[in-house]
Amino acid sequence: MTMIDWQALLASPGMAPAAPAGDAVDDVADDAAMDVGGGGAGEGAGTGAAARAAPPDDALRMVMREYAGGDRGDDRNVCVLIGTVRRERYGPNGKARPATATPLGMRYAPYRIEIEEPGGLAFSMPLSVSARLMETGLFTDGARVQISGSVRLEQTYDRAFAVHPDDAGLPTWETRLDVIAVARAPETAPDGSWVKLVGAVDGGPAIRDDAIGPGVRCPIATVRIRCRSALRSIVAGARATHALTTLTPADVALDGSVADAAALLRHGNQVIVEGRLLPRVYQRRRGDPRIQAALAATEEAIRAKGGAPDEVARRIAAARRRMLTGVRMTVGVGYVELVKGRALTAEEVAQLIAAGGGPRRKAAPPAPPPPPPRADIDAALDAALLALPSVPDAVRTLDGGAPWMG
Amino acid sequence: MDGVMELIGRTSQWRRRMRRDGTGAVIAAWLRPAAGAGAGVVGVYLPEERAPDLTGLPARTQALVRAVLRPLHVHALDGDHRLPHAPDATLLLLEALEALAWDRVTPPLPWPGTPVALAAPPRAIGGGWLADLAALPDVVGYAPSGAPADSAGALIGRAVGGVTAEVGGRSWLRPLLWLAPAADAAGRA
Repeated sequence: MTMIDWQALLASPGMAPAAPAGDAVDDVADDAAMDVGGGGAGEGAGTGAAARAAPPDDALRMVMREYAGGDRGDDRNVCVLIGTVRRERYGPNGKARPATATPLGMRYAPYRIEIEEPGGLAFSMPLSVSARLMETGLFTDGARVQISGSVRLEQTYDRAFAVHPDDAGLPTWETRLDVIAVARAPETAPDGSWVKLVGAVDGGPAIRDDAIGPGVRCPIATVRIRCRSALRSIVAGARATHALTTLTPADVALDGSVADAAALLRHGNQVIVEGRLLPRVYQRRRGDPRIQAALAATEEAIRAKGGAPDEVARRIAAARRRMLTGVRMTVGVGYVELVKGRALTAEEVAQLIAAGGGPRRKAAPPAPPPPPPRADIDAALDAALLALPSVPDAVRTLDGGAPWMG
Repeated sequence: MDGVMELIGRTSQWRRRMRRDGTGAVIAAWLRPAAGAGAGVVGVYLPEERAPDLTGLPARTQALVRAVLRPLHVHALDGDHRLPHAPDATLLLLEALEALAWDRVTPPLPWPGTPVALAAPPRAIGGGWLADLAALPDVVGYAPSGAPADSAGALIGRAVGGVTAEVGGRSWLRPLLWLAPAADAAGRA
């Protein structure tokens, strides 16, 4: 396995953004124009090939060859991580969690990668490691590795919310890293991550304030970047192409620390984003009936164990806090480049912050229409009553009819 | 109200609704009775503490519900059938004791009924009549045939149900109790 120098690779001249193809405005055409020489833009590419940059160089080809999924590895969604690998364990004895089989018959071993950045940020995130990558021998507990791959949102189930053994748990979206290549991390390289996304802003931003000190807040916008790649056939010369779309959440500070951050605040803008992986803590919606059911089941289990009333109340409160707090990996944006579209003006950004978000935030529901006149309702109900098909069964029994068979 | 009734019908999704008296929440569904009750739609509820796990309740399927007549006003949600005189509220007629998926074999047991008294003189509708009930506010007594009863006469409610109508973009509910003369019912029992 050869380590890929992604930074050098993506900074190569062949990776420069190409000019948009004509006046094409649809997503596919925009994506083709955005294709900056990554996967799918190989020799003999189909639609949009003329607008694409040069074919990928040898290094990228190598990654694409090594990736079991085909030539999916491209530079539209790239993530490089350096950290320490840990096998996921469970139970009191720390038993290694067994590999899971996908419905398609592939087996994946559950690992986590722990990252301790020099700046003090420390977190871990799940990895799905295929059997083929396991054979590299690099995935051992405590090994420090450099991983290259792509990030995407994936729907999964949070088992903490399972209320009975057959319950899969709470459906949730988790940011996953698809591992494409792995190598031993250079000893001098610090822990950290680097992400590059090339795609379109999907939907409006959600604005929130992060408290950075007593009474001091920093506005943060959460957006989603939609990256679309073209998967080509494994047969050279085949004309079929298939789209692969990934969605990745990204957080950008709106305090002026990121130049051109306003380019991320408008739906449909074509952008290039660079950043790093960041854990974001959020509160789950406690009104969700599935969450309520899980909270009730947890509370019941804690009460069943017994104990002093104060202690039980404390344990229940702690369990509720733990279950209602979620963590999702997101891309902390550090660089934005607008390729196509329009960035919001400073005034528009200020208005957006004041309004607390863009179109993704639901507008207040319109006031319900005034109820119609009571006489109209009564007349309609009278008509509905007269239109009932027959005398109800239970009443018909008075006349000697069948007691329940309709 | 006395007496357990058994109904078979198709249930809606079970959802949480807040009581109008501010004493908490219930888990409720709308039931379209196929047997054991009158026609139309009936609101059924369980106290929240009896149904912590919504997945255990038969939703969007044929269910056998054992219940008692215990009307409850709750705040209406989107999609609920509402009361004409209180558009933000609805009335759930039955408190369920048990709700099970119906095995498609077991018939519901007959409901002995409940004695009722009229709160106001009845009005004729079609071949029958309607009247407000004394002990069941917002529930309308309905006799599908016969001359309007004397308000002082003894009556018995034999089946529950409800009619709905769409007016002004909303669905409106008239909870019903099918009535029969008590003497008639006793004579045929």
